[in-house]
Amino acid sequence: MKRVLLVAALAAGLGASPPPVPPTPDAPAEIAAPTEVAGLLGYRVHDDTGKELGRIVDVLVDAEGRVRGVVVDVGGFLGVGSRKVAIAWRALTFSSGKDGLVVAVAVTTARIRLAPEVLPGKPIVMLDVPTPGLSR
Amino acid sequence: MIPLRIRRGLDWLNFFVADLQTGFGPFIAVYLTSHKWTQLDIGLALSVGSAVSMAAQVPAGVLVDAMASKRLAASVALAAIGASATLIAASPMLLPVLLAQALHGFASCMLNPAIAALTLGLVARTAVAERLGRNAGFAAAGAAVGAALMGAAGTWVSNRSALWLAAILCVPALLTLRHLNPGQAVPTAEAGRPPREPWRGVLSDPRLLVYLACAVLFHLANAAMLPLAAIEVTKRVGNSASLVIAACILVPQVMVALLSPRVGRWAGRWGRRPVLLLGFAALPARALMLAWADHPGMIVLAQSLDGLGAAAFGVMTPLIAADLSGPGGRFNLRMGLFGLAVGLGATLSTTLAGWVASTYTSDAAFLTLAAAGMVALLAVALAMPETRPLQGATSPA
Repeated sequence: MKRVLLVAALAAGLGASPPPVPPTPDAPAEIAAPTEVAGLLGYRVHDDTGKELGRIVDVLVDAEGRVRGVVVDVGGFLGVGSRKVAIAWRALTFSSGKDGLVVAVAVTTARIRLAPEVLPGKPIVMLDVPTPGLSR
Repeated sequence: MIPLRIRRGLDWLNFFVADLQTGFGPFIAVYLTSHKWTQLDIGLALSVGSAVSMAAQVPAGVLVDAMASKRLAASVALAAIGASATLIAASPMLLPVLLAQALHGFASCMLNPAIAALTLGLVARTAVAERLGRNAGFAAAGAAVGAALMGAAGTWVSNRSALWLAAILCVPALLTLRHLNPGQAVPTAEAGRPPREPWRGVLSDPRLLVYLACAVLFHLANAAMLPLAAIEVTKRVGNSASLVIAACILVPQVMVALLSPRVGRWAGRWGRRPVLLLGFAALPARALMLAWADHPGMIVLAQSLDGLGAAAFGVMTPLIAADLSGPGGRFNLRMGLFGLAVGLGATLSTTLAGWVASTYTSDAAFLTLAAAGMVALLAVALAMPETRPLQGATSPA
């Protein structure tokens, strides 16, 4: 536990200034423009009407390395009464807006409101769209 | 009569302190989420804060008792809280945030008793009950304004701006402290002299032990109720859920602001027991209402009962600590012990209610909290003695 803490502390402290390594044929790297990709943690998610739903707090992956879904913190006021709800990866739509990537959920707010909360040790219910792929 | 300058000073000190404290607590999790923190790290930061604020209650109380100037104790604590808000706002990274959470936890443990002790040093014994009521009233008004301001800042500007706001609000709080010059106050035994009361006498007082148990039970029933109610609102009410939750937070604060001065007056006139019974009776009533409430209006109405409970507990706790300490006793140690009881009850409450809600239903959780509230009420009714000193018996010679 102590080591994890220390490593995390170092990562948090030193992560700000990594040494620049130019890609070479031996050490390939993919380069993306800053607005082309986005880190999903803490990213705002919108509902089907364009209203802000909450922020992504976790990304769910399986043993094959496939991204299966995200956990979104929805609702609440000043942190009171918010719930963590899982959404299937398929049910997310991505587009580029004027401020960068726009992530939206193609699931109705009524379903999100009633979805079971994500709790440790409990089955995770990932809200999905009826026909995969169509919503894209 | 209390001089006007001191009266206004205490009013605004309580207002601004509660105001800026709204920036901490559950809001920190929202802020850290928007800065791409993982759930694990957020959990760590929150538990460091709550662990320190539990562990520091008694040591901070002893420290404030030992400090001759309660004004200095309050100033140091306020400055530390301002520093931690600044640190969290300026660098949302693990190490600074953990440090700030620990600093805030300790400083809060000093600040609350220090303000109450400062009050005791500034007003005559006979006026203490009413003045503590006024303190709690202004604190609740400050908390309500703080929640509204920070909610607005978080919604329309950024979550970070809400924390900067908390840091800035330390300045008016520190300025009002400058007005509270004990030199112009009613001289009482508590002012200045460190207490000589032996520890054993404090801890073996049955009245203290009974009230500690009552405080644990009160918060065992109370602490999980608002979060649980808010989650129910999120589930049942559509797009306006955030507004209803805001009402669930603000309405009780407005009630506390209106009721606290009255509660203080009642406690002075009729004694502490009737007020405690009234406030503790609000707990099971509120939990039962929440278990049956469907309509958002009913939920807000039930939450307004929180105002009665919070006003009674908020005013009676420092008052009973003052009653038991008498002039020149270990007031802040007693406040620290009561704070520890509150923290213990609150932690148990969230754990218990969370477990019942996830294993059974949220209605079962509300009924569990109602049962805890009934036990708390019975504890006051059957075991808690009246602590109001006899008229004139303890007034300064």
